[in-house]
Amino acid sequence: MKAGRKTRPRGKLDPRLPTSARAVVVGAGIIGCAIAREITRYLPDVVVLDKENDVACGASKANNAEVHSGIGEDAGTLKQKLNVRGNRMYDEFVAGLGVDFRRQGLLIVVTPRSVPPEVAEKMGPEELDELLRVKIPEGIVAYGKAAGIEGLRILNREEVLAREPNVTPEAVSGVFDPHYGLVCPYKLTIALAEHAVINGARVILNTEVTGIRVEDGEVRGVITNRGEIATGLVINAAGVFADEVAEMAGAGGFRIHPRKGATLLFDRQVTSEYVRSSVALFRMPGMKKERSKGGGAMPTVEGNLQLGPTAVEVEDKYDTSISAEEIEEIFERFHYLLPNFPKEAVISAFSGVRAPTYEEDFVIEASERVRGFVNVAGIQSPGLASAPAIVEMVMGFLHELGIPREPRPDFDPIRPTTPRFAELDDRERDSLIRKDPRWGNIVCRCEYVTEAEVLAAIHSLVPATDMDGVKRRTRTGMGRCQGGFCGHRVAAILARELGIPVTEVTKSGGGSPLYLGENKEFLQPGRSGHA
Amino acid sequence: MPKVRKPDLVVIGAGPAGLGAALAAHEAGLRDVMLIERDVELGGILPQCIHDGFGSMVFEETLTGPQYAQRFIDRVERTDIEVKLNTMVLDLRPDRSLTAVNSRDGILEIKPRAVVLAMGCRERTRHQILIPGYRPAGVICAGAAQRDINIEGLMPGRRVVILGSGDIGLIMARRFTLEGAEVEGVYEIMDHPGGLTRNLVQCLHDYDIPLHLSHTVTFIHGRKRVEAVTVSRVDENLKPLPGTERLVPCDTLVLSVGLIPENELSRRAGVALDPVTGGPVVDERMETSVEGIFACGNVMNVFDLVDYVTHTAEMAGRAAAEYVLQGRRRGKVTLRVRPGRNVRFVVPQLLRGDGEGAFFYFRVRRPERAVRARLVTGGVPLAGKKARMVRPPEMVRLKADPEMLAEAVSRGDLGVEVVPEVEGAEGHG
Amino acid sequence: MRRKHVFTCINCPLGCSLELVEEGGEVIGITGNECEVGRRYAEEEFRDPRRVVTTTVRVRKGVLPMLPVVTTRPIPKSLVREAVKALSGVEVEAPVRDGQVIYRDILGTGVDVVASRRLDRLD
Repeated sequence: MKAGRKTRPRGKLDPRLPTSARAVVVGAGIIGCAIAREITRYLPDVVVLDKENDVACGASKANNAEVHSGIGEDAGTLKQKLNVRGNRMYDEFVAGLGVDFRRQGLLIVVTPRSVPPEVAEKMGPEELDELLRVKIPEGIVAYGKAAGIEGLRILNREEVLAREPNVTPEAVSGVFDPHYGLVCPYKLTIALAEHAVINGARVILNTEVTGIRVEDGEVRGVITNRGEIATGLVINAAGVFADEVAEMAGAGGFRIHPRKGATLLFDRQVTSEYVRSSVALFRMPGMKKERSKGGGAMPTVEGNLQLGPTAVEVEDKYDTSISAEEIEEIFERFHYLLPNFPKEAVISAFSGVRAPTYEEDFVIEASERVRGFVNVAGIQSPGLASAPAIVEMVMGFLHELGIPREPRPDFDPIRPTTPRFAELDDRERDSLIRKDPRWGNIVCRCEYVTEAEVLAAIHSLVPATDMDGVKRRTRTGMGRCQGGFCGHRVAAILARELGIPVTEVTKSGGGSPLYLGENKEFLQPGRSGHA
Repeated sequence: MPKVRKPDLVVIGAGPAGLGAALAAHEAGLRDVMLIERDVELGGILPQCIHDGFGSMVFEETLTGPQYAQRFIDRVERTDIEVKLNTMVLDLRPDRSLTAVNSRDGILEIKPRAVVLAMGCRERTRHQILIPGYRPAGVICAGAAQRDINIEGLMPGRRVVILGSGDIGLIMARRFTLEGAEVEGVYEIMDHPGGLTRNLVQCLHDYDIPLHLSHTVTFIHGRKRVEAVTVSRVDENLKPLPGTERLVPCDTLVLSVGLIPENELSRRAGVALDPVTGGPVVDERMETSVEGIFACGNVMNVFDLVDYVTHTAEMAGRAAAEYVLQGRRRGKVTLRVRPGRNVRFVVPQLLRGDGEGAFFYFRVRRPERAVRARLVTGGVPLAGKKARMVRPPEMVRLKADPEMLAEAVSRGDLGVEVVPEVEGAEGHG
Repeated sequence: MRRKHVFTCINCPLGCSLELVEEGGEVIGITGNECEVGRRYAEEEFRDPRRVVTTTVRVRKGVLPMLPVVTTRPIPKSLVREAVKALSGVEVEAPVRDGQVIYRDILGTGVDVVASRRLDRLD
């Protein structure tokens, strides 16, 4: 018997707040949803709360999709340990979810810019050449080995340029990391959330945690703006707000200092020939001004090239604005690494706020002061790559706190997915259209998304209820024209399926309507609308 | 199994270009013509261009966009041209075969003998011009806003700032105002307006909407919905000048920052593109680098007058029909047409010299008064016309008769140039 | 008292800046024009500026919710906004013929407003 599938109504999340739950996860990002999914292997009574209108609305939708091998992390950190382990666990992590994960590899390029000028100045030319050609790549490989990463390959200059002909001619050597992979982080988050829902979890959106009830040093409940849920287990995966949630319980002790990062996205037709795999410039430790990685040129799973990210400390946890300086910085940085890059092929830009602590490491602990409260905080990069290992570590705490150790026999391992017209061959496409003509109605012409897929997104287990939700699930609006063709079509479908006037359709939930009125309304105030 | 169809001609796109080409091919005797359109009805962009000013050359009256389209739609409906609406072409290959899809037919494999590309263009987006700031609801391109208002009956904004003074931006300034919205101003990064003077007067002056030249938007405010934009003056290099920022409260930013010919299918078919026009390189019969594939209208280069679109469409449709019916095989390219003084680009870019005359369309680089626009060969003027004023927004058309082209071919040179008109001089052409 | 009015001519790409001087409604002089067309344009814009009005009206039972309409002749410029407002309350039922009269004699100008296209009924 497969739990959840018969009883869970599809396509409309039950917004009612339960009065109690065995476990409550605060934050429906990749970490929160992954933990919730894992808990449902053992018991179904999990609630995931998020104050936004969809899952994955924080850093989970705004990172660079990289499943690092761990090579970039400082030795001895929890980040490094969980990154290396998480990367190894990734294939199993995504199994059954219907999400694309590809180990495309990372080319780390060594050039004279890899060495700080003050160090290079003190060296003779042969010494410097030896450093760039031999010592640095060997050092990277050795560092990897020490961290448990095998299989890194040293490339000489010819090999680097053969792999990536468009990389700077100043390349001296390189290291190829074959473990590095790419996954779409928001599709993965949605998939994890749906997998959890199939197995009995409840995802409750538009619900903000305002307090944690603690009595006698134990968690008793979660207080929200919509009511209270009695529970003995709270998992704090609240991203940039994790410090605030921890304080509510008296289980804090760390501060999040938000750091935003912007990325530029480029047309895949133009860039797919330009760069084959992810490329990053190696920089000797101590060169970075900020602690986040130096970024690189990374294709997404879809093939759109990303340049970025930047790293800018901000005061405002909601500051996802992109400044002119950041845009300029990205182009300058990557102009060196990829000299003739077609800059005019930019199609989009995004930004997210990271949630680092001042110690710049993960805070994953079962609170000693408040029993039943588990912090999963400070998850900045390599959070995506570490996710499976973070979940494993958290489950260790949760089992100690009472989650049964025996998996449920009725756990459904498969999360159902909808085919993608863009990826099918013509025979498959034709066959789908004959069964349901809506597969033949192209809504997004840049990304070849059909009406059937838009409907599936609106009626799925964790359904899209706004334009961005449809976009993240189907890719409508992500192409060259950025919604110019499909925007009003998707809005009309949302209105029809949700049974709301199209003037109530939003981009990303409350306060973001697409239309501010119907025609003639501003000329004839009071008129209700046409038939 | 997908259906296979083998018409004589497929025209991709049923805007004024596609309608014109299909009709011209039909009139030239081609009977099995298929017209494919992805939208719900024929007309392309015209049904949403409800303003007048169309057709002064073709029909010698000024019509609205829908009226202009209706003339062609009525004619198409009187023929046996097969119309496929709600149908998207997914792929076009160098052998001219293509794959299309719609709800009723499913996947269509089509192997025509000739193809006319008439896909028009799309709008340049906010991210392509890298406007900093947030990414809220309320940032919309002018054409999309036009569709919302005029076709869907929805108002995308109430307090509007418009970036770009091309014709679409100017038209929408008026449209928003007449529908009861407030247009705070039109901002233009160049030091001169981008659209027709007529639109400046009848869309901005008539409604007291200010035009701010040498300005651009440097930040978009608002996390969920636009709350304001920051505008700044720019220097001669179009870079924002620090200290000139001004915050403009609004709920909508409308972008009219350029059109891009939509050539994805052309690329897939291996059609050579001109980086200056953004469209296929064509010869004087509107044929592309791939034999049997022709192009016309905005997919070839963005036109300002629909009359010119119709003209290129007729040439392309006729040429496609001749290609199919007469097995007309083209000669080799004899000349690359040379953009000369104050000419930014010319279409067609190539001349084969098949013994007939041709038309040339071009844009100037900068405004110039009292000029002669002319075709020249080896320094010898062939044909030309006087103009009191030429401006980049307004394309110029020149006609060359067969003798002129023959002379150009024999000299091995054909250029298009704009020169100062000397008072009293007769000229040679 | 003499008054000066400035118009931008729309008849050719020159866009001449035209200055018209009048006293008590009597045109004293026009300058800035490079041709006769410009001079006549300045006079017309002063005496009787007119504009073609295009807008949309709501449609019931049509394949589309809005119908574009146009005045058959230009109407006085000062009446444009009011004309659009007057039309904003109009609703027609499909099918509509191209050129069908939607509104007669807008604001007493003697000018009709007609459909700018054919619009079929949704069946």
